[in-house]
Amino acid sequence: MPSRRGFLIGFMATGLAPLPTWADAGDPSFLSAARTPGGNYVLVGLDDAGAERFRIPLPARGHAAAAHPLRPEAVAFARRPGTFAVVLDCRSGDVLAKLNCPKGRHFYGHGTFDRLGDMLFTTENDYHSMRGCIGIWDARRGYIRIGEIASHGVGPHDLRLMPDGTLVVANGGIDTHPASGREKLNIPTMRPNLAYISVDGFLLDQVEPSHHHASVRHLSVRPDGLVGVAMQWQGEVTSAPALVATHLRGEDMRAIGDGSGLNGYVGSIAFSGDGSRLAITSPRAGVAQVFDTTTGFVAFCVHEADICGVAAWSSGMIFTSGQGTVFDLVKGKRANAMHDLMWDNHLVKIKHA
Amino acid sequence: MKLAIAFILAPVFVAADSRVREVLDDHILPRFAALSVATSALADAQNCDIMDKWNTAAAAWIAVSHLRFGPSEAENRAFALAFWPDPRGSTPKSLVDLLADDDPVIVDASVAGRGFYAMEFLLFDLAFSEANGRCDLVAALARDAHTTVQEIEKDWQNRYAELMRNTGNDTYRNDTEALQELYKSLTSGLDFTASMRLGRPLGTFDRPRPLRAEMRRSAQSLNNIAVSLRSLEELAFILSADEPDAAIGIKFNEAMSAWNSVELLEGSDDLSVVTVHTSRLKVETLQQRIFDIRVFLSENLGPELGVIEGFNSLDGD
Repeated sequence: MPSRRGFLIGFMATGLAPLPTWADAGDPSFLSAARTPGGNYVLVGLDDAGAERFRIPLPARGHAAAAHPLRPEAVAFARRPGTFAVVLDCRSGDVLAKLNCPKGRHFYGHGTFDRLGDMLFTTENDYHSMRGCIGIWDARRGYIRIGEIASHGVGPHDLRLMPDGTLVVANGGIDTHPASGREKLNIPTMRPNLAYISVDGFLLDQVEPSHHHASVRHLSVRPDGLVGVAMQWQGEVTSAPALVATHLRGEDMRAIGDGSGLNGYVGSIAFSGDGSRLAITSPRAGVAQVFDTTTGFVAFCVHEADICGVAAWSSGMIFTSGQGTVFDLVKGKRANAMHDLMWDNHLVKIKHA
Repeated sequence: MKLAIAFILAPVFVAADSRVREVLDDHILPRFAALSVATSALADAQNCDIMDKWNTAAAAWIAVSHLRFGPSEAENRAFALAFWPDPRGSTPKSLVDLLADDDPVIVDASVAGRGFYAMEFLLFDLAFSEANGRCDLVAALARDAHTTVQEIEKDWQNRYAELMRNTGNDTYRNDTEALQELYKSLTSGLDFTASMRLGRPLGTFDRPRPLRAEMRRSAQSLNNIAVSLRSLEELAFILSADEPDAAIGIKFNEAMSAWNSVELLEGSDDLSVVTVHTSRLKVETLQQRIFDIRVFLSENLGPELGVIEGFNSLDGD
């Protein structure tokens, strides 16, 4: 637990009252990167109904975003192997800070704040030594880089904050190098893992998926610490095992589903608002599978072309697609909102304080 | 009774899409057979003066290098034949290890030290020309590559061709899915040739990277582009059969004429011309013509095969 004193200092560092909040940015509930019909890239704030609350231009195609837990600030990451991320004031669209990777590093496209928004953690590739690392940036002081810790694996992609303030990292296991773009360099020998790391870099727990070709890629964390794990298959598609799992620290990974009907590829994962369901999307198969977290059985399947983004919404979940739709399961297939935007991979929930 | 059964089953077979059959019989199977003949010659060689045989086999590999699904992907076979790009220089490192070993077990070695690209180092790179045990290792790598190629070929003949011919199985639920797989290999082949085979040596205008060209030691870099384009054109023509499309031929011809103007340049074999400003433009034009084919296919052939290339489905992140 951060001390009350730390909490207050964090607040004061943001400037004097009145402190801006997400309400000042139109009270959005979600963030998503998107492409406009004109081919430009933007970061968009969406409300609970799927309507747009703000739109900020991005310099290139984004991937995921991180929302500050208190202030209306979003960090938009370039798609890998990008070396930039921008911190945006969601009220004005102003760029508050630019995060530049140190030499020999690039971003993987995901990042997360700590609970009070003092520090930002980013997944990065230390490509000369073929190891993953987590960059640490001080969000109280203009997002300067204050250090880095090992990700305890190769190719860290998504990372999340655990309820106890530690980090959980999806080490995809795949080695890439900027000199060969997005080409995968070590498929025969890849070793993905799920790593629990303290913010000072200690490895607390680590598990590997049952097959080393299942690249651990995206995560969702339930308030009780159950981690939803989404994987991408690097072997022959027909032999794909289960690509979804849940994990509780100290236990084995529990496989969910059978890996069929996903084209070997899961794009996003999220627990439902009430935690009873776990949803995954496969844009390649044009499908979302929603599992009952307790039984592990499929509760729903939703077919939607280019579906990818998913986030907790009310007690259930809400989805976005590359065709511009925003929809939930309550209304069935009828879209909550339709946009002339191509929603990019991830729909990021803003956790209102 | 027998007749009745035959009658009931008949329509199922009639429905098979002839394009899948043609791709198998006129593209995939013969091209893997050619590769197998070429690696057999390599494996049977009595000495290590086999540069020509290697050239033939490497080109035969390039012509099937886009078929990265099924038998090629199983057991990491394609990686064991072709470890490239290699931005960390793992291949020469692995070769040094293998040369230091009196009796290396190739099949257990790192894929970086196996296959055509590793053999290229041993055959063409001056750093290895005097190495002890070079010829023995060349022979061992040749036999290993031939074994891998035979495994791929047998897997196609005994298992995978049937999955594509008679769809309605767990791998391909229908012919459309089989066609989509083939289309995907066509477009990813074009992407790889444009982005890797040409893009890597091109680097940026301010910093061209001639040493990153594929198979530059054997001076096959430019030739590989042509081999790849011819094979991909063959596949594109078969896939577009329902709508004979002269436009596809025109697009490939444009790329080939751009290739011809590069070939006329001094030092084009290994693509080191990327450092000469005036010549570089011609390599960039060639790359652009290949991207043009790619765009043309995704706007024309793709939709006809039911492949809508989604924003997210193509992303791979």
